[in-house]
Amino acid sequence: MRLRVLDGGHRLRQRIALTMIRLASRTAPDPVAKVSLYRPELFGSRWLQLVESAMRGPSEWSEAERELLGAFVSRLNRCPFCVGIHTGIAEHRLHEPVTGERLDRWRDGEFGPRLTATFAFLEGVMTGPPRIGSDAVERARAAGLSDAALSDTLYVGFVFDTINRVANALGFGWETEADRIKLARSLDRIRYHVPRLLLR
Amino acid sequence: MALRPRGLPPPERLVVVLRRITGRTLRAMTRGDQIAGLSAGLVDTTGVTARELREAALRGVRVPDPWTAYVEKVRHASYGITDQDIEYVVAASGSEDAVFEMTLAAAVSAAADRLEAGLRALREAG
Repeated sequence: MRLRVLDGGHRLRQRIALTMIRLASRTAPDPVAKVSLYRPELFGSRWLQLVESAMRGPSEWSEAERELLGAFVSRLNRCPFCVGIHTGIAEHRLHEPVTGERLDRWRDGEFGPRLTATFAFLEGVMTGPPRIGSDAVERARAAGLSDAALSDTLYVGFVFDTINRVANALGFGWETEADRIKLARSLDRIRYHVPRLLLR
Repeated sequence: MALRPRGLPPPERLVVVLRRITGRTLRAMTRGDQIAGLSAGLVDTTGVTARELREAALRGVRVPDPWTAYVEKVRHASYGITDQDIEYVVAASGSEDAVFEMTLAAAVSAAADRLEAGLRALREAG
């Protein structure tokens, strides 16, 4: 972590929570948790509400599919930390290998027609010009995607588009491959939910 | 056999009920409202940096030095940010908190632009 305040500058309540996470999981706390619990009134409190809603709230996308969407956006944004964590969750949920390299081959269609069309839509949004042509939407609809699913996709995209930049800028990482798996499993287990008490 | 007063649901049932309540709360507030709230928190919360500076970063308009290059990098090439970039803005601003605030504002701003582009495409497709 490139800012020392995020390693040791938390208020007492949040510091106790991070210590408990460290003891319970036997690994350093998720850097996203460190960011979210540091001065939570600035960002973390509202941010975590949005994340929980986008990733585990009602949606036509399954939770595992949303992990793939998040990992895909993270790959586009060249965020190795988020790619590692969210491919880890997707892999665990889907019981099949999910890696950044496999996501790079999305055009082969091995994730199925709905996700392939959605990846194309997301790529247009994330890397294209400020105005996205409606043809990208038409192609996604033709693959069977509803506008609600595409809208949900965009909010998952927003979540990752934000945190990818924060992770890259502030130097998020993990120590070992085992730590990566632990962080992914912990996040999946808590379902992105952080008690409100810790966000005050 | 666990001792539990009669009529009280088992703990796992309570978890399900709590999740349903949380889900309703999440649905009641639209995601647009949530993002508006996120932006408001970044601007309105008392911070180390001036409110106007955070607002400019959030609106995607040019910010003064020492932030100009850093904010651009967060928005367009965050993968290229180095230890030296962070050391520079920390030293120039004199505060890690300032860097924290500006990083968040720039990141949310760039993500909001893309979200808006996607939502606009969805609207225009009819």
